[in-house]
Amino acid sequence: MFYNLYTNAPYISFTTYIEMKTYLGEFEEVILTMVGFLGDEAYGNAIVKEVQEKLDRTVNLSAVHITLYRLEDKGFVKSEMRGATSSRGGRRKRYFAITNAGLSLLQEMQTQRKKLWELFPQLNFEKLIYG
Amino acid sequence: MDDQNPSSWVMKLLKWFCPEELYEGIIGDFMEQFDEEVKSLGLGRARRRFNRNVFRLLHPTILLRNKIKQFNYLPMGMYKSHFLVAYRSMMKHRFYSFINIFGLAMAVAFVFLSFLFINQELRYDAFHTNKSIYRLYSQIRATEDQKILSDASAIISIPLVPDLASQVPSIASHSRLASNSATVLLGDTPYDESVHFVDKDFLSMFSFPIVHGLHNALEDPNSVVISTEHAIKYFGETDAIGKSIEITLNDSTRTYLVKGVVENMEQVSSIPFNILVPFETFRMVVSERAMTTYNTASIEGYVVFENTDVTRGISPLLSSAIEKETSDDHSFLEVGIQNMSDIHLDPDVIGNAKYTDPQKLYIIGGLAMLVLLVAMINYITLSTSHTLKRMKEVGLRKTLGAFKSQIRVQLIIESFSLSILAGAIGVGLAFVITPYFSQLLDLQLSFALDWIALAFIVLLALAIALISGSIQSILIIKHKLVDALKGTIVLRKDSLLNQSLLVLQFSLSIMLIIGTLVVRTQMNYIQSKDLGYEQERLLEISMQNPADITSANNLLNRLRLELEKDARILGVSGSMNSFREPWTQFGFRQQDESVERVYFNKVEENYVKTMGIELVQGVDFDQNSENKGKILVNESLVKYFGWEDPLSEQIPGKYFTSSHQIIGVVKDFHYSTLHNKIEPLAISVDNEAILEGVTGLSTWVWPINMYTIELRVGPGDLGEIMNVVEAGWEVANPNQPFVYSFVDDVLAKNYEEESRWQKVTDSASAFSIIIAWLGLIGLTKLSMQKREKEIGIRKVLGSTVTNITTLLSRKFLILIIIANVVAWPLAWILSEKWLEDFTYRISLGPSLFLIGGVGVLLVALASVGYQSLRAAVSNPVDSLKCE
Repeated sequence: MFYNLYTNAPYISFTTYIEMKTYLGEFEEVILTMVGFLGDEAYGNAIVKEVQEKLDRTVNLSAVHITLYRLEDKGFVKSEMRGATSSRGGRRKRYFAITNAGLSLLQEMQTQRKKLWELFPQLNFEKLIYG
Repeated sequence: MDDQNPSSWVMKLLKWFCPEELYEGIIGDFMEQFDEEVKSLGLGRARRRFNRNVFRLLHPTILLRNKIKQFNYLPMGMYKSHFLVAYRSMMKHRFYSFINIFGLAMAVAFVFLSFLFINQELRYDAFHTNKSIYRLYSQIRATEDQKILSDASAIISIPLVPDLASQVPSIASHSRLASNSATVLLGDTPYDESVHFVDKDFLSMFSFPIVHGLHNALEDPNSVVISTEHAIKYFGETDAIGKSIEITLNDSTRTYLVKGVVENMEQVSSIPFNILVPFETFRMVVSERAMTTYNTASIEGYVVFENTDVTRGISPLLSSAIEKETSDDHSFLEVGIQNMSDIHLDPDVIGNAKYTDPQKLYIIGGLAMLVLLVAMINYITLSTSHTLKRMKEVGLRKTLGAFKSQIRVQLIIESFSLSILAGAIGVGLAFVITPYFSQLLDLQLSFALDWIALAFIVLLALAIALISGSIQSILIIKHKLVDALKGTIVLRKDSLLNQSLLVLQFSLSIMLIIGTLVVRTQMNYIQSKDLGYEQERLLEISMQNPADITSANNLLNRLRLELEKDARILGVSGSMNSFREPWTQFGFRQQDESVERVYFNKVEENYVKTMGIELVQGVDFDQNSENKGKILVNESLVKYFGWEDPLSEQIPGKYFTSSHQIIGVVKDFHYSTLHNKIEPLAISVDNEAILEGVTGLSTWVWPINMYTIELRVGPGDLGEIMNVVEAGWEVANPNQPFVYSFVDDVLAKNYEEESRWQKVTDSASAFSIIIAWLGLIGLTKLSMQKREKEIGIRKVLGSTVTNITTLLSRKFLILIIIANVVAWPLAWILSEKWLEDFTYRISLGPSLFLIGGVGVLLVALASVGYQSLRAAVSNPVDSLKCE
């Protein structure tokens, strides 16, 4: 067992100290947003339906699952099992919830995007109208 | 309700690959969607969509979950740093890096050469595309107890092959293969050649590349197919189609038309040929009886089966197909088959094919591994002693949170970069020495860096890195962190592991040296052994193929007449067997029907005198009579039958039709190689003396006749004498080329195989000693450096140079003595094993072992002593002041 020289506390897993990549792919971002959006009701099928409804986009259930686990690995969502229903043969659902890290990442991405949008020439046009 | 479910195998698949903790959530979601889709899209589409979902889940994120958890986080940056650190430490300590890398590179070169050789041997005959070609062989079995009465031999009788082919339907095609020496006449130039007789399917059965001509080139009885080398030799170009050559077989000459030119694939083919003629031509060489009888074995037979499956257990079927022809009251002929690809490495069947004892491949592989082991030990001992210098670095890494496994990875990466470098240099070295190596060993070894060879090298480097890196890390990591940081780790250079590795390394080197010495001494012994006749200045001239005994005698007399004029030529004689081949052996039944065998040579009257063989009893052949029924026997024969008075005895053959008379006994002489004991031998001038009533015969020359002229040359310049002999030959026999060899050369050739192996052990031990010696230099240098201060203090306190040199060298001395103790018994066992093959061999005395051990000791002491001395005479001020 290794001990930290200064605090004498046991080390925890080395990998957790590795810096995360702080950007997301487009699909990841959509799914993360949906998890945040659905709140307590975010599980695989709900997300698929929500994406279909809100974005008019058909997504594959497996792809959603894979992305959710990846987000979980990165610490942006967390999950728990609950709410067995008979339509699923009595199986529980894995509900996902956005974490603070996920939320702040989304916010940061929004800010960045807004910043970029403000630099867009189109804004000058608005100025013209008001000015 | 059941049919409303997804396909069960997909469910099983999902359950199988899906990590357990995810399974419930996933299958729940999937089922929910499935149920909805069954309603909206129908069962079929829902099922397909379900399947697609499951297959989409075959994704690293799911599959590798919990298996390689850190898959996404390979610390690439860390690896990069490891390589950098490896490079820096390599450059910082150039001397050790050089010894390490160069030692390994030499080992890799040796291993690679062995790999090339073994690989080539294993690929023998692999170029034939048809994999169901088999060679026939036969052996005689006793009917009663199924005991095998003869060795399995691929030399079989002529009618056996076509008879089998006509009676066994699964044989698709066949070809016989016979050979005979012949004179090829091209214009006026005679060439002494070996001609092969084959059936018309030969070219289509085998895959010898046809350069010009067609597969059916041998259908016409007057056609000949030659190899590309011979096409160039005869006509200067490969396209020789339509040209004609004259071939003289058994004194009759015929003109043949070249119908094909093929590559003979000499280096990788068990069937050596240069000139192929239709098999029917073989009638010109052998008697009509030989063409139809099962009693004479003179050819090889190859058959192609429909496929390899039918060959399982086919041997009894083949044997019974020809049973009525080949069985008698006591025995029957058992026919077996041997796949083409097995011929080259099968030691059990005797035949004409070039053959390598598979044991030798193991020996070469083993030697290569030994050399590699020595180099790796070098590497481990050197780099551990050296890496201990870097304990601070390791300590720091640990402090910053490195796990043991990470330090291990670092060390393995360092060894890997080193071993890859060594591998590259080794391959370069191998490239440079391949031509010398193949010349030395008389091999056709080509340096081929194909992907198998590359994969081999990379695997080799990986193995070296893994093994040595891990051992190294075990030694380093166990030290306490604080000690490492404080730099107070006292190098336990006497660590048991390190010491045993050193001992092992030197034991291996000593063993190799002793082995080399044993091989050398045995070879010298063989070459200088009294063979029972005078092999110096003894010449054998080939008579090619005299038509009958009269023509052989005439030729001999003509030559004798020419050469007797010259006083430097002491004797001329003739014989059936020469020293280039095993002698004729015949079998006969004794009174109790048991088979007995005796070697036989038909000779001319003055054979014993010309050869310088000593007569111990009785008289020699009479020069002026026919010597009817008279034979000479050797001492072994007398001893074998336990005769008191051999001159009044008879060789006890039950079916001998005429009686013979033993007129004398000659001293035993070695007519075979020293691998074999001197067996009973009878020689006679009269070829009918005992041959009537013989039940079996194995011979290289047939029929009974004289094929070789022996010539005893007196003192004087050999070149001049040879001119005289050649001139005499041209007068006596103008139509045939003058083909001769010196008996001592022929004998040396018999031991060629051994001297090849002598060279292999020589080079292996040279490699290993150089590598071990390099390592020793590095190691002593390191240990001197570590003890610099100690030496300084000792000198200040009054130690003499002698004291210090002894102190420093003693440890190595003790280790090498231990290595000797380990090596000697092993070397003794292995040498005994090798010597077992020789009937006439040296006995192992202590001198060889002492030479090997003391030699290594001296080499080691010289380098250790020199360095100790240098450390001892250095000025203590230099080593003490720097602090």
